[in-house]
Amino acid sequence: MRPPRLFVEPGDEARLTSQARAVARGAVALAEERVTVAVVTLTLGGRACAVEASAVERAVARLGPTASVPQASGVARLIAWVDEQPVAVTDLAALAGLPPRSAAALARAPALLLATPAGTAAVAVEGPIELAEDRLELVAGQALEGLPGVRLAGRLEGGAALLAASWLAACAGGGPAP
Amino acid sequence: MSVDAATRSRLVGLFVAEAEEALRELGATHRRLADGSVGEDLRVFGRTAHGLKGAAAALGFRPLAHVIHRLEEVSLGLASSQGPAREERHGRLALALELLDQGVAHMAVAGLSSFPAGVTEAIARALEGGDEAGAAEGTVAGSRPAGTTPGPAEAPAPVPAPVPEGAAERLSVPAIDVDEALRLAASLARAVAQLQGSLAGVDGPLAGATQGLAARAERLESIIAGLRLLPAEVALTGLREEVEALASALGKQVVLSVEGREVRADRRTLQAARGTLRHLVRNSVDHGIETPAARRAAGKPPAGILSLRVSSAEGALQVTVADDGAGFDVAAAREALVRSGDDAARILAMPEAEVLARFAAEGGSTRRQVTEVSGRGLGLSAVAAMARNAGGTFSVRSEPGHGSAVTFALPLDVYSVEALVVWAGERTLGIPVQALERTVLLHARDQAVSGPTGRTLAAGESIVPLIGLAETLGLEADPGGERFALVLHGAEGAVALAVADIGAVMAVVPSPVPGAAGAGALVAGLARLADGTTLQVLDPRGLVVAARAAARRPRPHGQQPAPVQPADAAVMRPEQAPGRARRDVVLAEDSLATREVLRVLLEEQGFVVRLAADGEEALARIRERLPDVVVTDVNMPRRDGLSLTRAIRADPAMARLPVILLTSQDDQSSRTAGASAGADAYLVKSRFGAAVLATTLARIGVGPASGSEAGQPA
Repeated sequence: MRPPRLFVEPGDEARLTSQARAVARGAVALAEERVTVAVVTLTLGGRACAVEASAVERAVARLGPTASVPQASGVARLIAWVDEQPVAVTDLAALAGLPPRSAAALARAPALLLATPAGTAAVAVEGPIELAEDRLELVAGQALEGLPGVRLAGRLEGGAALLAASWLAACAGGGPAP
Repeated sequence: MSVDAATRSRLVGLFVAEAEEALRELGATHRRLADGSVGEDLRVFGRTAHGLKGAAAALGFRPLAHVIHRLEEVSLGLASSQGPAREERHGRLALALELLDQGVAHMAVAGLSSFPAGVTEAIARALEGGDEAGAAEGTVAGSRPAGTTPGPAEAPAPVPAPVPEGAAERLSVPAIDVDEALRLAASLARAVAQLQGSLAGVDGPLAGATQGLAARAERLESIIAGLRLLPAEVALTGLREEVEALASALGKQVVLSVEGREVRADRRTLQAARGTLRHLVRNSVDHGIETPAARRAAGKPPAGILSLRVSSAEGALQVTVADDGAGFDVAAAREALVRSGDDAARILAMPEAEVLARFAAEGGSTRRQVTEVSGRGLGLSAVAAMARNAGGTFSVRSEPGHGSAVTFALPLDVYSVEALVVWAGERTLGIPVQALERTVLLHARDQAVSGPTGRTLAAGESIVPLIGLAETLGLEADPGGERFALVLHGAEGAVALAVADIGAVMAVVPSPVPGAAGAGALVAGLARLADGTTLQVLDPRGLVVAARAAARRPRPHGQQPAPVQPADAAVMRPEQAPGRARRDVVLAEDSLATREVLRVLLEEQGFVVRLAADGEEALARIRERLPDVVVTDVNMPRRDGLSLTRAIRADPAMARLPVILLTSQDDQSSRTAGASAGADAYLVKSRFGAAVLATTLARIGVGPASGSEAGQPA
């Protein structure tokens, strides 16, 4: 009997791994079609990257002034005002192991607002940011060149690395990365 | 359930509202069942519980749905049980309903996104017992595996309810929507203020339109803030029945008297008060009021009086529960404190009220303490903790043999916060005035002393540890030194926080920031001032804990705290300069908190301050004795600051009196209005501080630099 076909969809690494194992066991067969996904494109240290658009609540072209808020842990967190609402800000460059940007640079940076387990939070990225559609090439466990700490959900046909949205949201929310 | 965070938050809000309604129905029905009713009441109970179970399951609260299912099963067993078994079953149901109520109230007060797991477990334990298995208790109508929602075919038949008179004029909306509307209205008011600032100097229709917009934005904010207020009756529903049932069960006679049902407070405040006052009432009936026989023997009437008084004052909802029972066993509480503490001599000398207050703060920490005062210690400590956790205060009085009174106060409006604006570590920070005991101007040579245990401050009769606010928050020390100290009280004791400068008291609507600011964090929320500055409103409880910890931390050798800035000429007390007489100021301000801060600022600069709550009262003070200067708010009841200024200028006896207007309106038209009325200076609260005040006083000829008897208008 022919196994059910699996249409691979973008997701986090754990999901892709699970799907790959199911394919390896023969429980499912890989579909030949490749999935087209809507993404927000950005750059990270000059590398072309993207995040699934469905994971992004809102994108802003300029984050605006930030303020640092002291925490009981002794580590301050950055915040910015978006639509008159304060949101915690995470610098994607610093998260990826690149030199953290100054407050002035962050104020000029574009940002993505993501739904995190704790609520909405912002990730300051490098532009330009654009909404695009691209086809997903299946990858699992592939690292971003030179930035091993960055978790990928896959790679797009155009070459951009698809950042794992769940990893990004967990980091932005201040929780442990999945 | 996969929905975005905002939608889920909204759905959780709806669940809380629905659960509150369902629990009121379940409580009332259960009381009727306990009185012997079965039949229709049992069906109503099951139907209501079933609906609540479906709502819980729909939101993914599976463990909660499971325990509500169990609640239904236990209730069904009432139909076939009798005697002690039935009573025991009622007891389990009553406890489970109370825990459900507490859990839902906690969700509402703390803004939780799910039902507290610990409470779910407690409900499950409460429903355990009896000799029956769950499946043997009968079939629950429409029962299904937990975690599923009822289908349309299984949904209980709707019961048409009578439409109350006037219902068409009322709307029931989720509180979360009102919160969002209030946040947006506050944001709109701030944006309009910014717009007015940008248009300063522009006259004509645009200026008029902006002024009208500002007035409407302010009115809108006020109306929406009012929507959050509910009568205290909400917190008192079912109380009389509970008292009657408990008294009857204990063989006691209790007369309940309630005052202040009409007092209005924020919904979340009332929810917090509800649990606390029920705890106190139960405690009074159970342990305070004696049996009729014991009361007769003590020369009292057989029925005990339990009075509950709700009032609002100074921004707080105050609730007093008093009884004419036996009172607390203060001696036992004192003995327990002596045994558990290391300052026996001090405890033995403490007044009774202080013993009880300390016992309440520490009560429940050891099992022995609680037992030795017949369990009332546990009630007190729980109430003290509830009040503290809700940002309120707590006090207790007791007269052995004659009764006791416990009072707790909670913030009337938990949405907006009156905060004193301070500067430390180059940040603009807000300290809720409710936690603020006093502000002190630091002088290098007097109050602040460096000793082997660090810096201390002599504040009144107390000596408290002094620590920089910047240091407490892990910020860079203030380069210009620290000029003021704020004395705050927490459960762990008092602490003085040194800051670079202080400003005005402002009502702000702080927003929590997931991951950065909120309940349990050092910064409780963020707000924006009219000029766009981010105000970080600190959590006083966490702040006191952090400050005391920082004060105890050993400093690396050679590291010194930020220097206390010596009082400079601009802020030196006039009486410190030879030959200066203390000057007299009439201060008119309707906000108590702002008035107090201004009083301190003025007194620290050597003024004798006479207070007035509005312009009319200020005019009376001025006529009693002509002051050297008048400092007045603009917006006040009865007579506003502009009218006061005009009245002063119109009276030849006081026409030359210097008048300083102090207001939150930072726009050209307001300044023009102030100048037209005849004011000498116009200060904006958001930029107000000691240095600004001193400079202004000097400019209009009243400051310490002036040697004249009375200042002349500039």
